[in-house]
Amino acid sequence: LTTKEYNSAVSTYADGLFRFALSRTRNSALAEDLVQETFAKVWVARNDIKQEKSKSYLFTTVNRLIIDHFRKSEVQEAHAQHSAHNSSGSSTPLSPDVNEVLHEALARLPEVQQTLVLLRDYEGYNYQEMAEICQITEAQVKVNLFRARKKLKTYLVRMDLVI
Amino acid sequence: MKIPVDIEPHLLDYLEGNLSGVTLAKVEAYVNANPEVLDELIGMPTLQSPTAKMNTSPLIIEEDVEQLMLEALDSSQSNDELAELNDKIKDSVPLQKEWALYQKTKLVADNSTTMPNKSRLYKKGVVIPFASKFFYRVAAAILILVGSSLSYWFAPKTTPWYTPNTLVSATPWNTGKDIIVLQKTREFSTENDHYATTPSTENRNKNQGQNTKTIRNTLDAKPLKTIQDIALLATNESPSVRITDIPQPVFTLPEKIQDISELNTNSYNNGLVAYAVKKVRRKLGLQSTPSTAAAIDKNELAYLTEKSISTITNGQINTTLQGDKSVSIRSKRLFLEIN
Repeated sequence: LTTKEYNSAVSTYADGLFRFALSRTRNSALAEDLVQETFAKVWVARNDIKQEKSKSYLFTTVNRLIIDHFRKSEVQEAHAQHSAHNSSGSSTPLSPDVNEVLHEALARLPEVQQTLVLLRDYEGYNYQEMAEICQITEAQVKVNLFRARKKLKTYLVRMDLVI
Repeated sequence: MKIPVDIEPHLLDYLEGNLSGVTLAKVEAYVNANPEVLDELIGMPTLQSPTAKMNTSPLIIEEDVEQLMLEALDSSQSNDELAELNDKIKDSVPLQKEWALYQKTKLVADNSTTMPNKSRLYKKGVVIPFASKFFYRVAAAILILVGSSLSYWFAPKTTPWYTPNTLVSATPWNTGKDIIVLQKTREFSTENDHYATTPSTENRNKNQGQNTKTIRNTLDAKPLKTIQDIALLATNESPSVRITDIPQPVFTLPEKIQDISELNTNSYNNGLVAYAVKKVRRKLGLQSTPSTAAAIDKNELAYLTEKSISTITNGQINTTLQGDKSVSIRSKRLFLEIN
């Protein structure tokens, strides 16, 4: 990547990466830090990155950083508990937004399923690209994505019944 | 289907993507060989012909439709496949509701959410390519070239740049090309007023053990015209030599030597020129070695006097003879030898 191409990648992908990281972490400051760290890593390795692979490299990097973060600080567990507490505490949301509910449901999914749903819905990646980013097989991508959809749908049904 | 006991416990972890290493490879190999295992496990049978199933079991048809819905959500399906899905659900309200629910599971990115402080991520200014492999290659090549040049220039020379008493050109002198003639005035005595045509063995042996300091002056840059110039040069380049150490000329030659007999008026001249001619002839491979000025060929003498001596000193051979200090003269350059 040249400096110009790097800056172009910042313009094009920084917002998407931030939304991805924010959806995973649900913490704006943390998401910002992770995106900054991602671009810092890309800058250091820019000579080995081709422009056409920059998007994939960025999402792979941020995904790894998110996983590392969760593994190190066990934030994921705390976050899940926090989400569960919140959802049980607000039994009848006054104006439930489907997207918000979905994000809550998403937070309950296994890590890899969260990532796959976000990559698919936010960035429109296909099975093969998602497999590369998550470093799993295409079959695993497909299965996990199906399971994630089913769980999300089930969650929506439950919420529907609650409402 | 019976799943091997060493595979079954890992299947769920495999689906969750939690396996790694050997276990992952083993389970993956099994799953690839038996793809129906996954379908059984997650309750999603492999997509089969809907019509074939429709005639047998309505439940399976529904699962197939569900799979179609999931495929429609997460993979790019053709218009025909989407039309097929629509056909299947158009008469069934539950299926339509199901499809609507699945469609709701699609997350929509909130494009109003943007990266804060994005401007910090941009890189500005000229980037010095220190990380570039090309830069290091070029730098290495330059270092090698510079190192080679330095080692060439500063390496101790095995042979001096100038060898005293060596004829530089082997081209015959009568071609008009410059011939360097060196004389060792050490071999001429100022006290006994005679000349020697060959260096004495005693002196030659003496010279071999001495360090001879050769000072080179380029007359091209600053012609030396008088004995004072030569003396000044000698003292400048060799501070140990005082100007008073270099005496005044002890003899003169006519402006231009026309005849060999003119040389006989002064034995110093004879000795000087004879020795020079002898050197030239020896270097040129000529057999004759004249012992006196009378034996010198007239043409050779003319050449020597015109090219080597008279042109420089304007008729005067300003040769200084004293002790170990000597001055040798050649046609276009001047060498001071201070022994």
